[in-house]
Amino acid sequence: MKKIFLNIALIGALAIGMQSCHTVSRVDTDSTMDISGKWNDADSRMTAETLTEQILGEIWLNQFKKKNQRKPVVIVGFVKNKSHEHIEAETFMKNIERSFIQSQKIRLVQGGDKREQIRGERADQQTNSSVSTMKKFGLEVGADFMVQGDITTIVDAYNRKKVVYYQVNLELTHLQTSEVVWIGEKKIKKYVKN
Amino acid sequence: MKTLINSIAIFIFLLGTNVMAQNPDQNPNYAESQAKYDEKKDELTKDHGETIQETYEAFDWTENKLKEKKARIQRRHEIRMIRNQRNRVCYSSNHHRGHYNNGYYNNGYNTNGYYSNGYNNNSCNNGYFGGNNYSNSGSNWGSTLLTTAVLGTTLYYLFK
Repeated sequence: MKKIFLNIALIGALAIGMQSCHTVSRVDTDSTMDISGKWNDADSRMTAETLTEQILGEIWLNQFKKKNQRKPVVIVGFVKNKSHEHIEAETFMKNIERSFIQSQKIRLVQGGDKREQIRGERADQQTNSSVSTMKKFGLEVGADFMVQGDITTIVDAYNRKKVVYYQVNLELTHLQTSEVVWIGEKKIKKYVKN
Repeated sequence: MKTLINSIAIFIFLLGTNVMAQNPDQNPNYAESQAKYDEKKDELTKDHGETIQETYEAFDWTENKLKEKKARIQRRHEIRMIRNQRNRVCYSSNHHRGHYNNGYYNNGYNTNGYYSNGYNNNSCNNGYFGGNNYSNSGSNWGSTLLTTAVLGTTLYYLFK
């Protein structure tokens, strides 16, 4: 009888110990781990890879270089999330921007809040920096193209099954002529069964 | 005359140096931008070297479950507290009749459905908080008085 009680207590203690077990392990950032079925880092990485390949490899770039004898200057506009999930576009947009600089095929200019801060610092330099180091207004590089994008989803669910379709579109528009010179897309489809 | 020539020479020199200093590619409207940013430069440079926290709450199944559990416990605790409070009032009211007519139970607690869901089926109530509960005691007393008055008048005229 005593032995049975002891065994039960031991099993109980083991169960409690296993329940409160909390482990953390490092995994490769390139590994694909789907847990909830929502948008995750793997989707972001795949989107970045596909869109980078498309934007750097398509005809608009060579046409621009041939016509203007220089590299195009690009500014990144907004990416509108029209999906049903919280998706941070910055993760894949930064990868694309990085590819512009690394490939040396496209020049990139800053936009948004960061540019505002830079201009603020430049204004500050007008009264605080030495003349030889002071940066002037009116000498920024004007962009030739703007990248804009949107993320859309279509969800089809029934009982415990769900199909989620993501589509990420990026567009490159010439700032002077408003001509769209390139449209890139990445499609992801997931089947989730609960 | 000599002074005038000197002034003109200085003016031309200054103009020349200014033109020399200006980059030919510089935007002719640069002063507008400069003036605009000069006004808000302090605001724009105040975050230098700082991390701007723009966090969002990611959905975590375990945390969400824990949060729901806490909310449930808190809700039960509040219900228990209100019930205890009511029981105390009920106890005291048994010793002081007429306590229920002082408007205490017409405070909205009894009209929101909260106390008509079985919570008040405790030993104290004994039906007081049922259909004809004390929350409506004002109108009940009124109707009883009216009925009594009508009955009394009828009986008076019958046996007059």
